[in-house]
Amino acid sequence: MNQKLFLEFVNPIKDKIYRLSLRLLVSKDAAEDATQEVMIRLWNMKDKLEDYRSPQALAMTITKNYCFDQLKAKKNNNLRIIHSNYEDGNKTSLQKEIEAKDELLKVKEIIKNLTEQEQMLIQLRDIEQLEYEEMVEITQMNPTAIRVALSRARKKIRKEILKKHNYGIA
Amino acid sequence: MELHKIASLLEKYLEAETTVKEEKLLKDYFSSAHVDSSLEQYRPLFQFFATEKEIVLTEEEKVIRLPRKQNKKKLLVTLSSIAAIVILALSVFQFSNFQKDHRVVEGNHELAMKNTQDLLNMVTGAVANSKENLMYLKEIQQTKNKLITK
Repeated sequence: MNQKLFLEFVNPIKDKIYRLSLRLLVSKDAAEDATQEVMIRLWNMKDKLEDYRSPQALAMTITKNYCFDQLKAKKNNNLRIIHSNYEDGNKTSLQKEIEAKDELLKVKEIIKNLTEQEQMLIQLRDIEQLEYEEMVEITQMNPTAIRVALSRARKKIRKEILKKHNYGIA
Repeated sequence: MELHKIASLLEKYLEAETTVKEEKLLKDYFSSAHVDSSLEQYRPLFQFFATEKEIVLTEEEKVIRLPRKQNKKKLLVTLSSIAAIVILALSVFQFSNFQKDHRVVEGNHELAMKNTQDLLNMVTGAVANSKENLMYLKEIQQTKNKLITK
């Protein structure tokens, strides 16, 4: 596989890799580093990529493993990943937009408090809209376990949303 | 879409029994303008999923930096040419040292003089010898004259 073919292979999945890293590692810098690391690993095994049934799933698996390793390392060091994604506040600050954004931020917060595995499943299923077969390949979990965990995650989210929603009314 | 359909899809969704297609229906419904007020609380969730999918890698140049195209063959060629240059340099160096070692040792000038004189004598001897041989050229001239006068 030469450089051109490699770029063609990487192009459709690079954003997915980045989004999954961002979901798990939270910080943009960490996610960019993770994406770069995954790219390097893929490049180093570029001649073997064609032997895999689904190179895309392999790329996602590498991403997942790398991010989990990073999280584990951070935990062992007793450090928390610092996430400060500063954004310039030049956007039009219409009240409605703020409210809408605020609601989305709440959802983001809720998802962030899920376990890493649940976050990953939500990312793969609800955001990337992957089929269960693909998820099985990426996560190396069995399909039933995926469904059970995903259902639990979704119910957790609903519980938190309802809690926040009811507070809003009261 | 009717409300009860959406509600039952939501139940299925929570049990993780929906297909990707059905989840897309839910997403479309919640991103539309007319979400039923009883389901309003789910709107941000599905909107969040949609916006999250929009995130793209912006610092692409920084992140996707491929190693320069350099296969093993090229590396081997580079390495061997470096090795060749080193060997060449070393051998020139060694050779110049070698020559230095075999120069006439200082204080042996007499011997050197004698050797040189011998050599020059040999050269003069050889020149004298060859000079005699040059006499034969006259013969050639005579023969040539004979041929031409004919």
